Amino acid sequence: MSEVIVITSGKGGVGKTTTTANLGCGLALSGKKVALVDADIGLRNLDVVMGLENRIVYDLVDVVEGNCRLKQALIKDKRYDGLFLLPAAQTRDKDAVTPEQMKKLCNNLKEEGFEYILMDCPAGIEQGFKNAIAGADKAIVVTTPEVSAVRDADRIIGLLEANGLNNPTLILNRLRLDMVKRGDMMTIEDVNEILAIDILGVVPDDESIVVSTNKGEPAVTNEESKAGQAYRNITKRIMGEDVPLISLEDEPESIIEKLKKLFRR
Amino acid sequence: MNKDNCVVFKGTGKGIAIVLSENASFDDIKTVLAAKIEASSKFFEGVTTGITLKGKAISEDEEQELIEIISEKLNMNISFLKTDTDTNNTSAVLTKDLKDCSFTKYHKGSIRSGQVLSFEGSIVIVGDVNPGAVVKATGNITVLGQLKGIAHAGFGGNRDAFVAAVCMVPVQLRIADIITVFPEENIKGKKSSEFAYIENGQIYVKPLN
Repeated sequence: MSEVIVITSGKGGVGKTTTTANLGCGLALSGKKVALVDADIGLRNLDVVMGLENRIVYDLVDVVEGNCRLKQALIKDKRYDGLFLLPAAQTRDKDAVTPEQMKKLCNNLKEEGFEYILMDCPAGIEQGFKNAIAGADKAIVVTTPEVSAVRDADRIIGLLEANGLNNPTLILNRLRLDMVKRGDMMTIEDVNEILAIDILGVVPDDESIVVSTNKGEPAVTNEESKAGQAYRNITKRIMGEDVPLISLEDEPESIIEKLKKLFRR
Repeated sequence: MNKDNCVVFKGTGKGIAIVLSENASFDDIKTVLAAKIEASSKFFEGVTTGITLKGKAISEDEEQELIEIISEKLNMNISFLKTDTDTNNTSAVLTKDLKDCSFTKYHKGSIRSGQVLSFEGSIVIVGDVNPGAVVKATGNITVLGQLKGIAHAGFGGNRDAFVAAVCMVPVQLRIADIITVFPEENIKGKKSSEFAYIENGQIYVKPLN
């Protein structure tokens, strides 16, 4: 079995690349053979998040144009055996490849024996988006609990369905429980009311993501990170396991904090 | 008057309109219709289409007779039938006289941001209209779900059109050439089934029950 999953959002900065990196590592951690494809030509950064920037020799455009073989461009991850990255070109732009070429590329990757091919989609709905979804079998939509991101996600879901990618799943990223409790942030239900698609996972807002992203070590490997736990659960769901959504309840309050609250009243 | 002209077939893009002459007798209409249909039976064979009867006002029995003639002679599936001459077809819920529309499009599923659904006739949406989505109809719009986007009924100037929704919280509501913005408190408050229509050049929104 081999499937191409596109990770998309419409809006920029909601965590597509971080999600791709973490899910890729998570799947490889479970012993799967995974290829990550950075479809964000001209603005590549999946390689940076993965900490593989210095190993790039050939890129996606080189493969498509026939300057090298697919195997030459695939970069083997430094931590996991089954994980490979196909980086985007930085010196070109989205028009350098066509949807047909991407379809062919996806088929070639499937023939290489990858079980999961995760496609990191660029923001926007133009050529880059069309390229990224061309060869996809499934789609994961990432959004944050903000009206602007949810609006764009809605648009993307419509476009995905128009292109035959029905029933995309949703990852709600950067949820802050304290703000939800105060009523300052959209809840899972609020988001679901508008988008009405299956929720693949909820990732809490976590500082450790910023740290791990900057270090080039995806948080999924960090046992203590709550976001890492959420990503591990999502990988299990992708592999078909039934895992309940993680409890976003905070740990029970300490006695000192309870006292502090009492005095505040 | 040439008898042949008392029944005229017209293609409307969404079906066939059969225009019955006002001055012709019903018997003449019957004979001409039968003859015309016989002549064109090959053309209609196996086609699924809608039929609209226009022009001369006829009773229900007469209408039934005409349909029998059509279905007898033709190997054609009639998907819907509408009599335009029938004028007493307004909904009992609505106090205002509403022009009925020849064609209604049913759309199952939600309309998402950026999607536009437009139709010459009325639209019924079985699903939600999300924020950022636009629904345009020359006739009426009914949403069996949440209306959160923009609905434009009576597109093209039909001021008799209405918009009805199970949950009426649109960003903007347009009927014919009138545009209205929903008050904030209405959007945040309780969501109820409502319908909107034009009266004295203004859009009114009233509960459906």
